[in-house]
Amino acid sequence: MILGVDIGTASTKAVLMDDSAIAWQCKIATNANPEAAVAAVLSALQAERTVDRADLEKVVVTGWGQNEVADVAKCDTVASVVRGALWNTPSARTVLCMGAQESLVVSLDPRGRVLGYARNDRCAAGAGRFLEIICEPLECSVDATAEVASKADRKLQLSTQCAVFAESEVVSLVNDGESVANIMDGILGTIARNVITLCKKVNKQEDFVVAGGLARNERILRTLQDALDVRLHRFGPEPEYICAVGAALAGGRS
Amino acid sequence: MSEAIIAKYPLFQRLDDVCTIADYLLTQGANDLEEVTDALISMCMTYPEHVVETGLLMNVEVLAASLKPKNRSHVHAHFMAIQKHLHDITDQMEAGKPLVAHFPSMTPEPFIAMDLAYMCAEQLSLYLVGALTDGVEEILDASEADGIPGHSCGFQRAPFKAMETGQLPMPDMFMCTTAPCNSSNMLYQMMMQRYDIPMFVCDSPYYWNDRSFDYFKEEYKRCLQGISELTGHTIDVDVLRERVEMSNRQLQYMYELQQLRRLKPNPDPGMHRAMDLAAWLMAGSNEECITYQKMCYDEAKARADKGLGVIPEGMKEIRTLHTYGWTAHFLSFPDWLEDELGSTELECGLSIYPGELVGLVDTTSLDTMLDGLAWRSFNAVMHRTVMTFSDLHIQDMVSVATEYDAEVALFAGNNTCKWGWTYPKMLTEALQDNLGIPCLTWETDLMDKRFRSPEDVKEMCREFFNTVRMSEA
Amino acid sequence: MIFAGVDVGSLSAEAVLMEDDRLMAHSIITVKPNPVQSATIVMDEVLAETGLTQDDIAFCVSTGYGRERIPFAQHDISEISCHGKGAFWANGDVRTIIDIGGQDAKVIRIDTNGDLVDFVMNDKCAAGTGRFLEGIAKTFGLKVWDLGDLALAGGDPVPISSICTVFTNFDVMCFLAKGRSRADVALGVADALATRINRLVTSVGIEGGVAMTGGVAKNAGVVRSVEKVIGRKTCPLATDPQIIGAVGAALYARERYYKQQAAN
Repeated sequence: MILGVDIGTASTKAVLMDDSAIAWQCKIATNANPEAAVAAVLSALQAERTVDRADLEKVVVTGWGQNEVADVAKCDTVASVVRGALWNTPSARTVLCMGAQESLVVSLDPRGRVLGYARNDRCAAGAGRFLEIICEPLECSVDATAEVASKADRKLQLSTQCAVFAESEVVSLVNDGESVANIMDGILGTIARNVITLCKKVNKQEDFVVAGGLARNERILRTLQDALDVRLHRFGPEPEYICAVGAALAGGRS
Repeated sequence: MSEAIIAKYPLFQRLDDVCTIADYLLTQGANDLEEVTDALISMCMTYPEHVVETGLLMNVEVLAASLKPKNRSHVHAHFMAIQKHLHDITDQMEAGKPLVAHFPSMTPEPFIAMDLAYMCAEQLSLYLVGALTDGVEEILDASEADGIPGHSCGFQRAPFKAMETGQLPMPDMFMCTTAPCNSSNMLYQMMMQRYDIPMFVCDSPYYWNDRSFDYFKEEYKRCLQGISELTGHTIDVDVLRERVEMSNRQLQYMYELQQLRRLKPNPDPGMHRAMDLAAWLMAGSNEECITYQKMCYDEAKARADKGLGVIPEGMKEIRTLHTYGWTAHFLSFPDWLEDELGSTELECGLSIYPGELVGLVDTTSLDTMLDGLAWRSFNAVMHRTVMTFSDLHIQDMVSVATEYDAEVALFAGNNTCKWGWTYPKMLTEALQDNLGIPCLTWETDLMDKRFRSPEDVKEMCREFFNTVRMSEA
Repeated sequence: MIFAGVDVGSLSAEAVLMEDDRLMAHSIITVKPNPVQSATIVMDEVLAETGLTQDDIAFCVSTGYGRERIPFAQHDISEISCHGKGAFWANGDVRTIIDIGGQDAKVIRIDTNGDLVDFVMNDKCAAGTGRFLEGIAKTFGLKVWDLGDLALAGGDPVPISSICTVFTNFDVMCFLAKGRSRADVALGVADALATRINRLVTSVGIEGGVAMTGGVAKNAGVVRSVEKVIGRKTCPLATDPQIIGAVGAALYARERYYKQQAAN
């Protein structure tokens, strides 16, 4: 049994892999403290499955916080994403993982070798935080956004790409009497477009795996599907766990 | 050497100091920073103040890399060549000879044959950025405050502002080509207009073929003719021949060295790639340049004969093609790649002069020599590389990747390089799709380390090479 | 004669009443999403303070967001000119103004009459604006002004290398989690803002006295960081830096009025 822990900027996801199956999973807030997050995961594993650190063949850490944790194996984020994608879809040629602050798209050759990848560089447009930020003035939970947007009756185009300026634009739109549904739909469209721009930096081909928190959002998926013109496979059973799974299977760097 | 001229221009003095320091520190038999500490202390106590001042600004990582046995001798030889070059041009300047500043797309034999002083300002600032921690950031900021756009290339911006502030001499004339880019064209024109400096421009054609070369060589000759008329100096054919024979010898070693890089393991360390460009820009200037290039070749040949490489024992070689080029403020990068990641540098887009393409110059007559030199410029880095719709450069890179058996490609693009960012997607597609070569692309600034720090670049590369290794497994 | 100036920003709105060029009263409110509403409320407030009515005002100039739509203003002028004019009134030595607003930042150069000579503005990127500070203050659980005061207590600023406000916010959380003092983190943030502003400053160039206007200028920690980066002290202003735009508008109102009178 190997524990894979993906320490993201917002949340830490962990999976216990037994052979190649997910035996247990958990997700907690990282709170900017990677060591504490890993400790919390191990505690939860003990409490819920009575599995101790000593019972594990390995603990492999990946994601943003990996450098801050001692006494664990480490796996680069790109390698984790790829390994997780191939576990889900052995024929994967492109992988998109949309995180809280970082979106990453990777292109693979027919044998699953990495050919190239791209990330959003210095800019939060197209990241999960963007959605979180505007959910506040719209008083909507992140999980409900696609549902809310589905009731839109008008196409809105926001004038800004920036997550920070979008917040004020949303407030103005609300004040101008625009419906929350239309605004939400406009925002989701903006986020999707930013992600699509990122995807164009690599050679996107089928089969295309989508993962990360935003992959739960049907409105974003639909926009991606239409724009990229490839069949999308959402990482399952839950899209946030792609890196944790991949890290556990990859087993860490030598 | 003219001490007066060197002392008059702070960046000349700095450069001379760097060479003096290199001459001292790289000949102590020390292999690393620890072993050279005593010599460093002694230097601080015995050398003139300005040398010590410069010494305290030395980029420690570059120094450490230069001390390594695989790099030391030829890095030393290179700095001896640049010092000789500096001394020669300052002598010419003291003797009142007109100073021509030329773009990095030509070799200087005709200027020498016309008994002129010459310099390639971009080449000189490369050393200062590479060797010293205080680089040229202050000069770049001053340039921007002056209204020169921050998104124009630092390669010209830095030396030109240095000329304006008296840190480098203001030339009496410019010679350049319209290739590579709008940035260099605009900045050269700005200098011409602000200071009334005559500028001789070779109009670089768009396509690369016989007809366009015929056009270009007339342009090249026209510019040299113009310089001759302006200065009253004519080309001494015997001197030209002597210098071209020298540059032919130098480049012969360069071409042979390129062949050695095709071997497995690659026996040639990558840090001197940037110095190869710098040496090309001095080709024909002095014997020291030839000594340098020969040394690079001899060392690599000795390794090749024994089947040795340049990465640590036990590491697996990853043959790497640098499709854009080197980063001036991070000269130790190729050395770090070798020793940390086993990545050996095959060729780089900013120092590739394919031997069989560029060729050696026929020294039979003045005409054959001028034609041969024009052919060299036509196919120089930052000239050939930008011609047509980038398919030429892409094809060159694909050829190198195939012939040298590249396993990965790195594109460290200068963020202000207008040309550079038109093609990397096409290039990576060609390498990835046709050859299955993993590629990593990132933006950096050639001259300004604040844009993306060397530490960031190292993190990215670690991740990339780790990922590639895991992918292979 | 009484003149009025009203300035609607992205975070606050201000109104001033001036008797010729003497400041009578001023008012500051947090904006409503609708600029006309904001202007009306803040104008009503300042009138209430003095017991005057709209009829008592000879001329009113509006500036800022929605300035063309303000029904009780006879004319509107760009906030750039108004900040220049207002800062000049507040200190005759001023020739360069650094105005850090809620969502944009400007550096303005004026001549010896307080009229606009040159300016540069950033309104594309939230870094280097009030928004930057607002977001981070929230992370600290503080009001923006308190963040500035906290920065004054810092001694060893944390390095902020991210450009994006969102990423910086995250870096701040990490520094706090690693045990860096709140004061040092606040100082690092103030320094980062000052560095962004400095890019604008160097592109326009500093002439004569430098003044900071806009709400962020009341933030002592930010002012100190900016002074550090530009290498000089800022000029004191005779009034609240947040109302400088409205003061400039009122001064332009006076100019316009007398010009109209002379023409008739």
